Parts: sequence; structure tokens; C-alpha cells
Amino acid sequence: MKKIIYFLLIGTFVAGMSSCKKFLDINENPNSATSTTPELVLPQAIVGSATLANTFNINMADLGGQQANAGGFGGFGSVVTYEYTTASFTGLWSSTMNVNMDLKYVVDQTIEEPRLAFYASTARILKALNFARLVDQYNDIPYSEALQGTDNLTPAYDEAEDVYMDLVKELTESIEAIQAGQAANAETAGVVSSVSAATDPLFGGNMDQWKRFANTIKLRLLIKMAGVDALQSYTTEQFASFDTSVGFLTEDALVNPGYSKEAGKQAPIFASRGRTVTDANTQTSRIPSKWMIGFYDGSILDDDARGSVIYHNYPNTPSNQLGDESAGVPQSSGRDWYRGTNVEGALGVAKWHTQSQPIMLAAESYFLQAEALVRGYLSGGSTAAVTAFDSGIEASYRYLYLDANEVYQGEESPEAMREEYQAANLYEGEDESREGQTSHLVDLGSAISDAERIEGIITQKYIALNFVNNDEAYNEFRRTGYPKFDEEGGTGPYDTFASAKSRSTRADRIVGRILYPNFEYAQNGANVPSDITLFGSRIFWEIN
Amino acid sequence: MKKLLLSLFVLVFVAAAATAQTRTVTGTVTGQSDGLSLPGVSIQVKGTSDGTSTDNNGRFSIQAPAGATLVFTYIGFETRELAVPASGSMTVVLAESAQSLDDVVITAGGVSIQQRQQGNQATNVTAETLTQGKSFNVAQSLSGKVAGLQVNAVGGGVNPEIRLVLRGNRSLLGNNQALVVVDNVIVPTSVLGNLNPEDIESVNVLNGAGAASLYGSDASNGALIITTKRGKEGVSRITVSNTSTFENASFLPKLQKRFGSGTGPDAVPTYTPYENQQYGPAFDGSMVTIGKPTENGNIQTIPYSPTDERDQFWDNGYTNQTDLSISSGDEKSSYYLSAQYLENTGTVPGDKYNRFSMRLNADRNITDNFTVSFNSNYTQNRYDRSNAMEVAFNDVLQSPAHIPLTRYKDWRNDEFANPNGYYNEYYDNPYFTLDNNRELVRNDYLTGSTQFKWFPIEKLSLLFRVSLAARNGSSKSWSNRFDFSEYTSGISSSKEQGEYPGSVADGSFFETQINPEFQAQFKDQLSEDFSIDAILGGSLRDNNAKYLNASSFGMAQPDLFNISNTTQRTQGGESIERVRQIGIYGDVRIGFRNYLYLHMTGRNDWRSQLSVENRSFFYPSADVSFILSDAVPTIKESGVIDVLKFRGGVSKVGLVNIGPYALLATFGQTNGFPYNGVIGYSIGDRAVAPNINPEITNSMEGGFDFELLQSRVVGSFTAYKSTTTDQTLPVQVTSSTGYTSFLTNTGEVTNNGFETMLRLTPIRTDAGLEVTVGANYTYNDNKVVSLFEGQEEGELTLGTWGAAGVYAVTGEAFPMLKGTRYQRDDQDRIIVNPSTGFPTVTTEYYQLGRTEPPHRLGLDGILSYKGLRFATTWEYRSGHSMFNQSTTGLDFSGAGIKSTFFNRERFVIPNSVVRTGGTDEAPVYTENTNITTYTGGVDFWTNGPSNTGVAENYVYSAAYWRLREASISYDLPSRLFEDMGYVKGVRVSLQGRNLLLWTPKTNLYTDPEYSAFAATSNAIGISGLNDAPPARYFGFTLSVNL
Repeated sequence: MKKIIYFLLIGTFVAGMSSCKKFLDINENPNSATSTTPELVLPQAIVGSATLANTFNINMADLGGQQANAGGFGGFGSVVTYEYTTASFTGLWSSTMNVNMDLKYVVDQTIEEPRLAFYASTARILKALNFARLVDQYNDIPYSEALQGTDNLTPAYDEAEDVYMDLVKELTESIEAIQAGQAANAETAGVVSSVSAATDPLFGGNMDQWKRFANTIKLRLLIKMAGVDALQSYTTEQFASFDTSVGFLTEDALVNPGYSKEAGKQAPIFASRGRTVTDANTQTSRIPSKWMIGFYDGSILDDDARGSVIYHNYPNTPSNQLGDESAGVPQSSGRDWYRGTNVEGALGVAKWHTQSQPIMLAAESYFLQAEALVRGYLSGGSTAAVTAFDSGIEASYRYLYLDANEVYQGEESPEAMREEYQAANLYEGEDESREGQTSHLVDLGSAISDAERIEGIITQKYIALNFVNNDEAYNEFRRTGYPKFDEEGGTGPYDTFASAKSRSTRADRIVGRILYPNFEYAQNGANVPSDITLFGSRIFWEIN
Repeated sequence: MKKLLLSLFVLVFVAAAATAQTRTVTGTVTGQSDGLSLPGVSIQVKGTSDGTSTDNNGRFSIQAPAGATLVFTYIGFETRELAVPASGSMTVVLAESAQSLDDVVITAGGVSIQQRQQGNQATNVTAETLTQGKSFNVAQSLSGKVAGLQVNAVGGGVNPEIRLVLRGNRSLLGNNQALVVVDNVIVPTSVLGNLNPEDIESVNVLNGAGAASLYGSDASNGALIITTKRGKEGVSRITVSNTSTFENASFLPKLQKRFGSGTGPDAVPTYTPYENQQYGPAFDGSMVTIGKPTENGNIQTIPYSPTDERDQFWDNGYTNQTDLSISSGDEKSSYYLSAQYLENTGTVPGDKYNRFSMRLNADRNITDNFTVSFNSNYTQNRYDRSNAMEVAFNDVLQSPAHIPLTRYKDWRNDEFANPNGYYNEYYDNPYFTLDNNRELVRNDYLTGSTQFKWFPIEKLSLLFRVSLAARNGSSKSWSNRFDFSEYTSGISSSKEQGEYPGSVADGSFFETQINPEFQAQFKDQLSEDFSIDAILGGSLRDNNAKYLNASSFGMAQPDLFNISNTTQRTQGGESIERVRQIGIYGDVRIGFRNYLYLHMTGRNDWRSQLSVENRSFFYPSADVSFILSDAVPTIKESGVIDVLKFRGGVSKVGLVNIGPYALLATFGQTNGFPYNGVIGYSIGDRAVAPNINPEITNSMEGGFDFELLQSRVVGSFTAYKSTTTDQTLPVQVTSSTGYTSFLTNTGEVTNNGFETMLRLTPIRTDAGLEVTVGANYTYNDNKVVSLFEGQEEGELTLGTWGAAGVYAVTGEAFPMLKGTRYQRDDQDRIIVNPSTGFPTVTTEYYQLGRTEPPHRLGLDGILSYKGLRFATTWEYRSGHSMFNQSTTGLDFSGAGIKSTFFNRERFVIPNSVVRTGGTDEAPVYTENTNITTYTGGVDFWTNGPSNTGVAENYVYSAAYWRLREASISYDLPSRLFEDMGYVKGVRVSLQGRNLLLWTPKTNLYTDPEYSAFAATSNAIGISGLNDAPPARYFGFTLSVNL
């Protein structure tokens, strides 16, 4: 009897415990996904990279000279003094890491699978572009130890040059992997999975485009490194083995997953400088800088064709010099970068809610090629450089005259507009023999030195990237010093884009670099490089 | 522990089986005062372990040897010893005990014990004390009455949220609020605001974690054990009462009435007719126009003189409350039935609230040893209120003092009140704001339990109980579409078309908790010296909740508040939460000679939120109660000391501070996904340690209770200390890791303090006059010992607002207010610019003070004479600071009185210095006596670095003295209505709450109890305009007993 009771008790206990386990095993998340696949992450990471491109674009517009403080607001503080803190621009860092974490997930899940080579390569290419952007603002960054999650809570920093070199390697390998995949598919169709058009809102799965994109990014990185003496042997070697047969971007790299006039689903640039989904203003504390408008309205160059599609109410768009907080500063119209009237059909940089978000323009690709040709990094010589330069200007016209549906709306061809542009801007220097010739800033053929050629190329790139990639325009200014400031050190609105209230100690009175974000000091303090200053420190490619 | 329990049971059974040569004695036991029979009286043959207890009719039967003495003990009554008479039949009358030590309290698990047995600090609040102020929120009516209990009404308005904390904040991010248990049903804290206070029999407040073994680890923050009324045998009672309460705003921000509309220039302020800022010329009584001409060409002209219109914006609120209760009982059954309806209009114009509740409590003895009990409570509440009160409050403050604000109520018909014609260019008519942004909220609560109790033998009871706590609700909120006329947009660039696109949001949810429980209780007098009361139990708990919401904006047409009536796509969300727990517990109380009690508990919990490896955890506790005055009779015989009791306890409790599904990182759609059917996932920002454990609090307490001079002096003292380790915190990590936070166990917080109580009865006359005065004082100090592993300094953000925030900082009290302040020299003097006279603000945050009061004092006084009763409660708190974030409303607008402290003239910043030399590394400062600010007007007061961005300018002492309650009630002499046979009693009373509030001069803002964050947030210390101004309440009640 006792035994039976004993067994019964134990039996009940065991049965009870196992049903207890079942009773408690209810912790599976019914609200959010706890697992996913690379196919589901890649589209988001591509769109995230496009958002990131715009984040850098908008964040750097005060520093890069494209916008200024508007009237009717006070308390701009560091915006006009440049005394930025470690709390400034922190979003650049965290969003880059955030997007790259997603891209890294795609790479990690696909890199070992030859079948998924196209997925791995697209993710690697974008990751390289995003990391390069971060290096361009912060120089040394955590790279080889970054994005390890809880395995490494305090990732060490890599030197910017090393990061750049590894990114070049990543891009080269990605191009090779795509080539190998294409070769394998040619032999046996379908051994390497194609990326569907829906999964790839950038190039619609076109792997040739991805290769050209990667090659263009690679060219951008190598050109920046090539000016650094210590990296000469590396870049010489890299240029020697550069595979130009892959080609470079000939079309704008535009992301569009199906942006729409809905909260959270708008094209990022339109959400930043167009309208809200209920047709309200997006930005009223900033207006275009006089400096930037000067490249259109004749104050520096004459280019109504582009000025009039970019700015609202051009040439009477409210504008200001950064740092001028006096009473006469005009207030924002609330739509200074949006020419439309709450209906589809506007052109310029902020076209419509549904427009595509540019990640890199074909114009930039051409200007990079032009510089590489002028400097002899790529073979082809000066004729090819002039062609590339003209193509760059035309590509810029083409982009700005596309409507939101990417239909070209110019009354004239980009080529005709480029020719008119060149005819309208004549040499203005003191050399009388050049009087009546076109300005070297708009026509590479009329430049008389490599310095002038580079000035022309970078100036045109600066104009083409206006409110498309303001950050890259600012980077290239720091690398090359173009577009040139007034040589006598004038501080007028058309002499410099530096703030009138700049506290910078640099000769050009701009910000040398931004500070590392506060959370790096707080949570990774031992690794953050010391002695970083706003005006004293340089990005490695800034050699002046 | 388990072994001990087992051996105790064995011991008990063996003892019960022993028999002796005896005869049968039978009898009944009744109470002296009402003559009613007493069930459950313990009867013991003196000198033996033989015993029994009375049945439900007070009858007993026991075998006892001839000439034996029987000992009758019953909690709440004096013990009697009587010899067995020859007849073998006895009628025993027991007298109620005079000492509170023998008062019965219903404590954790529904167990009735005497106060003498309690080894932990506990306070019992009776119905009379609770309802004397006629607060319609039970939590508020406890304020100031219980040592150690901190009650904060964190907001104003109708039915505000209440935060209840005992012995300080232990968990940095987790719940610190006391567990609320109503008739053994664990209920959400929000039930307190929805419980009919008239239903409550008593509230037993357990300050420590003593209830954790019976209710699980949720009771680690202490518990409020609420017992509702039940029917009494032989008493039928019907009570009808009505209470009317009026409320008015009692504390408004201090405003200036010297300067009218204008923004500058500072040197010669000019009048601007449509301006919100109040930096214009001084009032002079002349006639001025305000606003711009309306479309009809009309414009308002008013005197340029200050008014009280802004203060008069707040309405007088009114509450009408009607109560009905019926109770009855006979020897087999009893019931209590009640209903209450309450209707409230608040001080915010247009806000309404109503509440209806019903309760049925019933008991039935099916047989002599089998009882069924039933409790049920249904409450529904309905809110109709504005969801833009904060905006409206700001609108009020953006109105200069000469504006006839209250004439703008009828914004639909009055052209000057309509947004198209409203005088203010930049801010809306607050009446329009309130009207255009509204929400309707519905909450239904159903709580109850069914309980079966069976006594297979007299000493053993087996109890099975199933309880339910369910809540379901829905809400609809909207912002109506309004289109400015073309005329208005044309003359006012800030009144833009499309400014009010309109939005609608709907939500619905349910929360259900089911809690079956089994409990075996064994009670016996083991021998003459030893008694035992042992409980063994198990409980299951299943919490299931689901929340749905849908929202959309851009209304297609105004006034149609349907989520489909929009131009934008409707967004929806769903969240499901299900958690379960299993607990097995034991609770043993061993008594020695009625003066020494050892109480030990142990409980093991299994919680579904944790991983399989970590889901089981055990926590024990022990406490001792020793009544010295009973152990050493000479003490009692002295005639001075009636009671002297010492007690002490230790406990360990685990608190699970993560919700369900927190153990696995999640992927969500971001960047606008999905687009056109394509999904895009992103890795979440939070990494989670796989081995999350419960937070563990180890605490100890010790103290004593005393009663002197025939209980005319009663007091207690308790000291406690607790250490909470393994806090579950999302540690901030750099985004370079790919995540921004990492949820793990880290951090330690200690709390220590003492709770004291003293009650004096200086007057107690035979004529019936009695005066008692009482005080309770609580001191609590806490400290964040560590936060993140391996980091000596650490800081955890609990909530930020503007230039300040509430933090947990290693080595400091918690929560800690931090914010910006003026740049100062090493002697703490403000550095001003030698050319402008302006100070500048720091970028880094400094500690600006702790935000929970270390000192809390409650005072009460009661005077009763025959049918008359007068009672008051006072409260005092000090030692803590608050930050007010209404800088826009007060200083940007220029409405705040602070901007006139220097008469809007140039002034020397007090306690300031200017740099007169030295190097940048070692600057030399000299006291500033003559450099005035270049302006004392708008440019100084609205400027961030000189004023509004300086958090320390808005930090004030949160100390207060408050007359919390005062009431006077009178029971009408029965001769007045003795002709009316059916009326048994009539009581009239007058009562007031929050009648007086004294705060330091630095508090220009609001009630320092308020918090800008929800009651569940630990980010205490910031207040703003998001709460309606505090109110003062006056009411009267008529109550009739039938």
C-alpha cells in the first residue's frame, strides 16, 4: 500500500513537472520576428543605405556650404560658431553602424554559399560605401572589430588608411565574385541565384550595374588615397591592376522601393526638403546659402538652367550667409528646395514624395574618371578627360531635369544645356589673352594647367552634388580646396562658405572634422583616439 | 525547510491521536458586546495538548477529564480559563481585548492573525479612517496615514494616476510599486482608483516583502492587503448615502501682471496687438486693439490693464457620488451587496468622468465543515477629456494678462474666438485646443474569486480558490480637421493652410489574469507552550493580454471621427503578452506561550518569461515577534507599560523585471517597409544576455511596538535595510557593436531607513470625549552602489526633458536630477561676460538634487464626542528637488513672474564674477558689482544660455506642508427619527481634501508631487504643463442607515 502511494505520488509529481514545463513554455514571441533570412533583410538594408546617404547629405549641409541659418530663428549656437560637441552629428555614426549591421548579417549568412554570391556581393559593396562615408567624416573608426554584438562590446579602432585598403579589397573581391557567378551561370543557368528586382531597389538585380557601381566606389577611394604620399606605392599598384573593362556608373544610382506620399514611406530627400505627407513645411530654420546660389545666379557662375529647377522662386529664393543673424535675414518660405506646388511634376533635388533617392550620381562617376584621367591614374589622356568632364555636367543636368518618375523633362537636351552653360561663363581672370574664352570652371578644354583642370572638375562636382551628396562635396573641398575661396581671404558671402561667426582656427575658417560621438567616449572610451579637435585634426586624405 | 515542515506535520498528527480517560463536555461561546456566537474559538484542556474549536454556531464538544480546566482563546478577545462544571455543559462569554496587540488583521493569503504574531512592520487602516475624507480614490485616502507608505498623485485632472511606494525605490527600471491585493485577488494598481472606498473593511499595509511567500515575487515591494466588507450574522443593514464634492484649482503657476504684449526691442518695448510674448510696455490702462481685423472688418479694443482671466480659465469641478449597500446574514449565509455611481466634471473645461461599480460578496456554510465564499466586483469608468490639455495650458500662458481669455469659449460662433479671428498670431485659443483634441476612454474591470474551504478535521483546513482579475477597454482619440480661411492665411503667415489635417486613433485591449490556488492550513495548540500555524500551498497564475490600435491622419472631412475617414493609409498595431507562473510555498508560524512567535516562509517560483535554466528560483524569509510585556509579567504589572513587543525579520525575494519575449533579439521592419508587398527586416537595437536572472532583494528589518498608560500612548519604531542586486538593465553600448543596448543583470541599489509612529490619547473622558493625535515619520535613504560591471562611474537615464533629466548615478541617491547650470568659477560664482553681463550655460549636466523625499511626516488628529467626529491629516515632505519644464509657457512667453524679478531692467547677475586676468588654464575672477546685463528684457529671459536653457533656473525645493484632509461628521441623535421606524441612523459630514499647501518660495510652478512621467515610471522629479493644476476639494455627505 505504502509503495503504491509512493509510486502514485512520484508519478503525479513527474507528470506534474512535465505539464508544468508545457504550461510555462509560452515565451515564443507572437509580436515580432525572432529570425529572418538574407532575402528579407537585403531590401531594407539597401533602402537603409539610401536613407543614410541622405542623412549625411542633410547633416553636412551647414558645414559644406550649401545652406545657412534662416531669419526668424535664434539660438543657432554651434551651427554658426562651428563649436560642435561630441553630441553633434552622433546620428551619422549610429545610423551607419545600424545599416551596416544589417548588411553584415546578409554577408555573414551568404558568404559561404557560392549559390548566394550575388547577395553577398551586393551587401559587401554597400557596406564598403557606407563605411567609407564614415571614414570620410571621422577618419579612424572601429572596423575589423566592429559589429560583433556582445562578443566585443568595446571594439578597437582601425586606422583610416587600413580601413580604406580593406574596403578596396572588399570591392575588388565583390566584383570578382559577381564575375565568377555570372560565368558559372553562363555555364549552367541558375547555379547562382539571381537577386530579384523587388529585392534590389537599387539596380533591380542587374549585376553588371553593381559591378560598375563597385568599380566607381573603388575609384573614389583610390583617388582619395592617391594624394597621400605614404600610400603612393599602394595606389600605383592598385591602379595598375584596375579592371576598367568592368566600366563605371553611367546612370545615376537611385534607390526606389516604391516611395509614396505616406508617413515614413517618402523618399528621404523629399521628406527632408520637400513637403510632409499633409503638404506642410519640412524645414524653416534653414535657407539656401548665398554662396551656393552664387553658382547659379551669376554671382560666381551663371547657370539659371539648374538654379531654376532646384530652388523655389529662383532667383528670388531667400538666402543668407551662414552666421549672419542680423534682423534683415529673410525667413524661409518653408519650401526653398522644392519648386512645386504640392502637386507632382517638380524637378530639381526635391521632386516629389515618390522620387528615387540618389546614392551616387553618374555625374560623380564622370568627374572621378575625369580626375583620374587628368592625374594619369587611368589611361586615356586629356581628350578623354574633357569628354568625361562634359559628360559629368550633362549627367548633372539630366538628373535635375528628371521628374519623380525619372522622365526627362528638359526642353533642351542635357548636351545643349551644357553647351549654353559653357558659352555663358567666360574667363574672368587677369590674363588678357584668355579674355572671351570660356571659364576653366565650366570647360576643361579651356584650362591651361592640371591645377585648373582639377579645379574645374571639383567645382563642377561640388555644383552637381548640391543637396544630393553635400557630404561628398564638403569632403572634396577639404581634399582639394575647390571650389576656391577668395584668395585675399575675403569673408563675404561669395568669397567663402565659412560661417561669418566661425571660431575655426584654420586658414579657410571651416570645420576640419567633426568629433567622435559622445557614446563612443562613454562606452568605448579606452579605444577612442585622443587629441581629436574640430579645427586641428584632419581626415587622412586632407593633405593641405 | 521542507524537512522541517514534514516533521512538524508528523508531530501534529501523533499528538492528535493521543487519547486519555475522559468525559464529554459541550457548550457555546459568545462575544460579550453583541452576544453573538463565536465560531473558531480555540479550546484547550489546560496542561495537555488536547483541544478543539467551536463550530460555525459557536458550539463545541470536547473530551476532558473531570476537574480539568479549559482555556478559551480567540483572536481579538481576552483569553479565559474555566473549570469544567459537573454538568458537563458550559456557556462561555469572551470579552473583546482592549489591546491592539490582540486586534485581528487579515494579512497575506487571507490569513487572520493577531498583531502580536506579526514579526514585520505592518499598519492596519480601518474603514473609518480610510473614508473620512471621502476621497474617491482609495490610494489617495491612504496618504499620510501609514508610516513608510509614499502616495504620490502624479497628475491632476479627473481620476489622476497614483504612485504607491513602500521603503523607497529598489529597482532602477523595474516596478517599485506596492502589490495590491483585494480579497486575495492580485489586481493591477489601477484598480485602486476604481475601487469603491465604501466597500472596504480594512487595508493592511505590509511594508516589507513579507507577503512575497504567499503572493509571489510581485509582492517584493510590499503589499496592500485590502479586505472588503461582508455580511454579518444576524445583522441586516441598508446604507444609502450621497456625497457632493466641489473642486477648484488651488495652485497655479505664478504669473506676472505688469507687462503686456510685445517682444522688444528691449530698450523701448513696443506693443504688438497680436503677440503672444509678454515683453511689451507696462500696463497703463489705455485702450488698445488686439489681434488683426477679422474678415468682416471687426477688431477688438480693450483696456491695457491686467486681469485674472488666465486663472479663471480653470473651471470649478463637481463630483456627485451616490452609494447604496445592503448586507445581511444568518447562521448559514451572509451577503454584502453594494453599488456606487460617481460623476465628475473636472477643472479642465469640458473634461468629464464617471464611474459605476457593483460588488457582491457572499458566504455560505454548506455543512458544518465546508464553506463557500464568493466575491465579485465590477467597475466601469468612462472618460471624456481633452488629450491636448498640456497644449491648452501653454496656450493660456501665451496669453498676455490684459486678454479677456474667458470670453473666447464659443469659438464656433464668436468671430474673435474662432481660429480665423483669434487675436493671437502664434498660439491657439485654448478653448479651441481643448475642443478640437479629445479622447473617449472606456475601462471595464471585473475582479472576483470563488473559494471552497473544507475542514476534514478541525485543525486542518483545505482551501481551493480561483480568482479572476480582468480588464478590458477601448479608446478613441482625435484631433479634428480645421482649415483656415484664405483671408486668414493671407494676413498671417503662421496660420498656414493644412496646419490641422486632423487625425483619429482607436485602441482596444483586454487583460485577464486567472489564478487558481490551493492552500492547506494546519493550526493547533501543540502543547501548553507551543502552538503552530502552518500553511502549505501552490498557485498558478496566467496573465493574458492583447492590445490593438489603429490610427490614421489627414481627415477627409471634419467632425467624422472614424479611422477610415482619412486621406492617409490607416496604420495598425498589435501586441500580445502572455506570462505564466507557478509557485509552491510553505509558511509556518510557531508560537511559544503567546509571547514568542517564529515565522518562516519559503517559496519557489517558476516564471515563463525566463529561460528554462533560470526560470526556477527560491526565496525564503523568517521573522520573530517577542512580546516582552507578556513574557515578563512585572512589566505589565507596573501599570505604565501595557505592551512592549520586539520584532525582526530577514527576507530574500526575486523580482522578474522583464516582460515576456525579451530573451531573443527581434527583427522589425524599418525604413518604411513593407513597400508594395516587399518585406524588409532590420536587426533590432537591443542585444540580450541569454541568462537573465531575477533581480534579488535581500532585506532585514527590526523594531518594536509599545503601548503605555492604558493604551493612551501607542508607538512603534522599525529600522530596515535592503540590498537589491542583479538589476535587469539595458546597458548602453556603443552602436559600433551593432546594437545600442545590451540587456543583462548588473547593478546594485541599497535602501535603508526607519519608520516610526506615535499616537497619543491625551483626553478620554467618561462622558465620551476622546482626543487622539498621531504622527508617523519615515526616513528613507537610498544609494546606487554600482551600475555596470567593471565601471566605477556609471549613469542610467530614466527620463529626460529639455535641459534636465532623471538618472541613476553610481554612488548617489536614486533617482537623481541632473541638468545644465551656469558656468561658475571654483567658488561657485556665476561667470558673466564682461561686455554683455550675460552668464552662459554649461554643456555638461550637473547633479541638481535627489527627487524622492528622504523625510516624510504624517500627522493626524481625531476628536470624537458622542456622535461628533472631527479628523484631520497633515503631511510634510522635504529634502528633495524637482525640475519644471514649462519654460516655454513661463519665460519664453514672459508670463512667468520670474521675468519681472528685476523689473525688466538691466541688472547685475547676483553672485557673479568677471574674468580679470590669468591664463585660460588658471583664470582670475573678480566679483561683479557693476556690469549689468545689456538687457533685462526679452533677450535675457528667452535666451537659452542666459535663462531658458539653464536647468538649475527651474529646479526648486519640492518640500511641502499640506493639510491633506479635514472632516467633521455628526451622527444625528436617534430621537430625531425614532418615529420613523425604518431609519436606524443618519450621519451628516463635511470634508475637505488638499485644503492647504505650503511650499517654499522657489516653487513657482505646481504641486511638487506631480510627475511628467507615468506613475509606473521611476523617473520621478520632473513636472510640467502636462498635468492640470492641482485642486482643492470640499464636500458634504448625507448617509442614512435603514
